[in-house]
Amino acid sequence: MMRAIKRFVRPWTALAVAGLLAAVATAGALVASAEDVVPGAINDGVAPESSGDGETLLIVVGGTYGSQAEARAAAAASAPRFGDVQGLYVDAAANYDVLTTGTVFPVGSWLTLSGFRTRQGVNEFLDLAGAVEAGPLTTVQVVKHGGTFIGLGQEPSPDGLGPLLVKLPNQIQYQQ
Amino acid sequence: MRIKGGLRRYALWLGLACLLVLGSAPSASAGHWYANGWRDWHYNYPPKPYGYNQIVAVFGQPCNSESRANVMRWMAADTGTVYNVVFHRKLGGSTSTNLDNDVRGHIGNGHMDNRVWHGIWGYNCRFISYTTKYSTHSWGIAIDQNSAYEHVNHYHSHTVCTCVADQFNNHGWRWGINFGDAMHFQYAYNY
Repeated sequence: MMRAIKRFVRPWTALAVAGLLAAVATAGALVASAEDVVPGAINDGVAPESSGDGETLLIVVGGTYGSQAEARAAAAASAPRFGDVQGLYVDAAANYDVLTTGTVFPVGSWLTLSGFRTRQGVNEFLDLAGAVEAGPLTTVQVVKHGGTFIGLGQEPSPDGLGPLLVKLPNQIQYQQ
Repeated sequence: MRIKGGLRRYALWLGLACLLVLGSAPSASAGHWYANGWRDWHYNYPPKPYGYNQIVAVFGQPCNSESRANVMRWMAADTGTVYNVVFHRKLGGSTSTNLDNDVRGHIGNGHMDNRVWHGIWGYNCRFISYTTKYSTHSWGIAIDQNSAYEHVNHYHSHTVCTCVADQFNNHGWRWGINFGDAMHFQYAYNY
């Protein structure tokens, strides 16, 4: 009797174990492939736009201008310096509370700028600007309120694994 | 006696000729990196990626720490400015001989340094202009040269020598002149 039970149970147990292993392996492969195909929030090389609203940021400023049209013209004029990569963006100075001592943007002015969450991002951009001779740039720490997209996402994440796409929990520490 | 004197003169001229040849030999090979031991090794090149998914598979995420693991110094011939050109770990250093030894060596060995002008750079975590799509510079797999003299969206070059472009092409790189960016070389296709 016991032999008959054993004969019956062994094959089914083996099958069950094999099935369980296969299911675990499949689930693991699916998770791995999902991670490979959808790395973070980047889709086919395209990053999501993050406005940085409410964040403390470092902005690299190319200039201040009396009107949006002037600022746009200045940004367009400097764009060829950067060749195939993005140069400066345009936003109203009113969208920024300046934290850097001694820096004041004229009331009603417009800025050409690029925004960063970390000092490393600023330094890398300044290296690029130096290589392409993009002219004098000033780095200012600000708190951003609304406004346009100013290029956040173009800096390495502190973990070294990819770009920094979201606000860091202790962001100000990375701006020293 | 005449014969002896003739032989002496002959020996003297022969000796002078030998000295002349030996003396001119170093100047004839001067500047050849090959004479200083450079070799084109073609060691451990990474596979050429086609499209975004393959770029990520070979080189990782844009702006990752490997993208800026190597640096080489490159002097612009027109201004004397020395640039630190940063690039991906898999394209040079102790990992591979692709960029800093083979491509760079061919340009130096072939006396083409005088065609590399200012505005030279490699890695930077940056979007393609007017988009939010990461440039190949974000992986440290792109080099711009002569950028002070070239324009984007033009399918011709003002200053980049095809002789230099050939060195990149021969080592797995693609010249951006094919997509209107003559200053640009990248180790990736279809992106």
